[in-house]
Amino acid sequence: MGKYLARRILTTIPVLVGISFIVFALVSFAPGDSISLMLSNETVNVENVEKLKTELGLDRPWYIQYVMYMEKLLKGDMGRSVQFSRPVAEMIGEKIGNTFKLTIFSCLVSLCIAIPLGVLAAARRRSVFDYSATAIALVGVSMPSFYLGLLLILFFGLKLGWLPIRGLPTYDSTLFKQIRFLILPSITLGSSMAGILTRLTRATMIEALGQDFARTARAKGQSEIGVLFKHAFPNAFLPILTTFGMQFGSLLGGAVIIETIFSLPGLGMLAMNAVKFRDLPLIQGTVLIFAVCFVAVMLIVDILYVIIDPRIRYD
Amino acid sequence: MADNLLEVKDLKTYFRTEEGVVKAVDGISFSIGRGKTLGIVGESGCGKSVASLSILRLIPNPPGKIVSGSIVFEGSDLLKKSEKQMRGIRGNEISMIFQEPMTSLNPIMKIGTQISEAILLHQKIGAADARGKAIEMLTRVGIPMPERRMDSYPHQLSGGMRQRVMIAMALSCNSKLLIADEPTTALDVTIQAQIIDLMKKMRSEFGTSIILITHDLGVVAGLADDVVVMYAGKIVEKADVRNIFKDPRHPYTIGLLQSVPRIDQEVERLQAIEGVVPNQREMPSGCAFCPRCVRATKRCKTEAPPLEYFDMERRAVACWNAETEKIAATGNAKNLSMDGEKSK
Ligand SMILES: Nc1ncnc2c1ncn2[C@@H]1O[C@H](COP(=O)(O)OP(=O)(O)O)[C@@H](O)[C@H]1O
Ligand code: SF4
Ligand SMILES: [Mg+2]
Repeated sequence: MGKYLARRILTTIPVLVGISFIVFALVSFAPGDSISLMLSNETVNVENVEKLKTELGLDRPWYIQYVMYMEKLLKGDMGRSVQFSRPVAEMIGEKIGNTFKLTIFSCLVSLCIAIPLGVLAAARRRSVFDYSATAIALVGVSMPSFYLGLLLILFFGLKLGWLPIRGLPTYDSTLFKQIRFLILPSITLGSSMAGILTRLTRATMIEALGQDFARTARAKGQSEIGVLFKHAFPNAFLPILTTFGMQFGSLLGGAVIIETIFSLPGLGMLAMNAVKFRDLPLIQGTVLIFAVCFVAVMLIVDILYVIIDPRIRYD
Repeated sequence: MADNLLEVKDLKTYFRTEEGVVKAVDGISFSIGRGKTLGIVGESGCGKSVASLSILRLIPNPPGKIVSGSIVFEGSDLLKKSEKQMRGIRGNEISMIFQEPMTSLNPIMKIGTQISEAILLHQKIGAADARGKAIEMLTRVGIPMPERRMDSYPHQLSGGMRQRVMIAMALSCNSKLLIADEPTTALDVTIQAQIIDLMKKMRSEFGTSIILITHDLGVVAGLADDVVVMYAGKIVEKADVRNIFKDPRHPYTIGLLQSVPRIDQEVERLQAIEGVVPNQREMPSGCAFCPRCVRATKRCKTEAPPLEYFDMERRAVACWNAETEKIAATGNAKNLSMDGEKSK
């Protein structure tokens, strides 16, 4: 297993290189004059532009530029934000924790909804519960998250006043205090994943319950609950895990919108700001971090897969 | 009859499908004595698996349902028991092994855990004792290095070994009845012989009664005491194993026997029964075998033959022309007319 894991981890290296190149290219080959944007209006003149270009290495061929970019990146230097004149790495470091909390909570919310709902729907197939679960899942999948977010804000935030609707207390505040602020954004962000995973859980559970090994378990006297949780669920969990990994990408994308709606100071909001101001180094940095997070999650999923499924061990 | 372990009477299991009701098992009766082995034979789709799953009440509902009959096991009707009582019987008093050793075991659970599970469900012993018992069972079914095998996963075992594991699991609580649904069908010939030998050994060691389901009369010959031949959800012939082979009465049984490869026959001359099992929508109104039967007469088309008992209730056949069959087969007319009278 150690060998397999080592190999799996090594395969992420070319992926990461590819990502860094795409992120680099995204900005280098992007239309629009980034240089003039970096300079304030008064200082835009030929001389200044040339100076800055040399300074940034922008007069060199693109592959040299890429090597320079990678060199800096490996040292942890992601450039400076144009808008804030601060190191991008530092700014990301400040915000990444909040995004991390938001995505973790969203995953928890969607798993806590999807798995019980899907399992029960499969166990009580064609019952009222099953149909309701399917309907709820459909709503979760098809409702645009910004719309759901606004509805939640309106209802739980403004009408009932139960939950805070914006911001996240960052100074002098425990995670426990923050949770209240994270509830609505997490539900909003997790809803689509919850819907997808509910339907998937139901489908894979139904399949697992119809498998021969489930019949064997019943034939040895196992109760339906035992068949459900000891035999069917562990088998159904594998495809759920894979889809979870894939969906995590969309979740990160969704974080950009949700953080903006709920004014959560995280990476998404940072990225949104960067785009608004054409702050190229900051865009580059945030996109890179999002991509790396996704790769990391896929890696974790694959490792979990190997731990759970004995059939794919070693090779 | 009195000390029969299991008596199935007029069992009917139907499936509700989009094309209408499928009468997978349509009024079958049979019994099995203690320590005896009953073979149930018939082509694929004739209802053998449904019949055996009905005994354990494991028919998926919906779409399936046991609509009538009784299944008396050790004096009490299984169809009247609660689900909880049935759970106490499954794997404990009546066990079952299946055709597909590949898929019948949970692929992501260790062999040992799966056997221990069966033991822990029915016996009030601790996990360590259950493990010991599981190792003992693996030893008894002839699995080498049983301690190490306990921690193997199903995919690390060959088909034959997996079937041995299934047998070990099934007998781990000393079941009185083992239902083996095509236990050797998915295995290659040499392994088949080993599994049959193992079942013989287990039968004598544990005194287990066996219902052996197969479409292979060769397997039945080696193991069964009595044989039931099924066709399209019904029993068409019942006899002890000797008579099934020496003196078959139903044209279907005769056809099945002719399609069994024999050492003294060339393989090319092997005869298969022409045609296929009719599906439910086009089930003939008379004898279900009629479209494929070489003996069919006019009556067969319109009237279904009942299962008639003869030879002191020891045998039965459902065919209008079974007597003629007998004349043709042995020419013993006197004997036959006696049987014939009885069956009329
Ligand atoms: N779950 C099911 N739904 C509908 N029909 C079924 C189901 N299971 C079995 N049947 C029907 O019951 C009949 C007998 O099947 P089975 O007992 O599996 O045959 P076999 O003798 O090969 O074991 C078949 O015609 C099949 O179509
Ligand atoms: S009843 Fe008629 S059709 Fe049916 S098996 Fe006998 S001879 Fe053939
Ligand atoms: Mg079958």
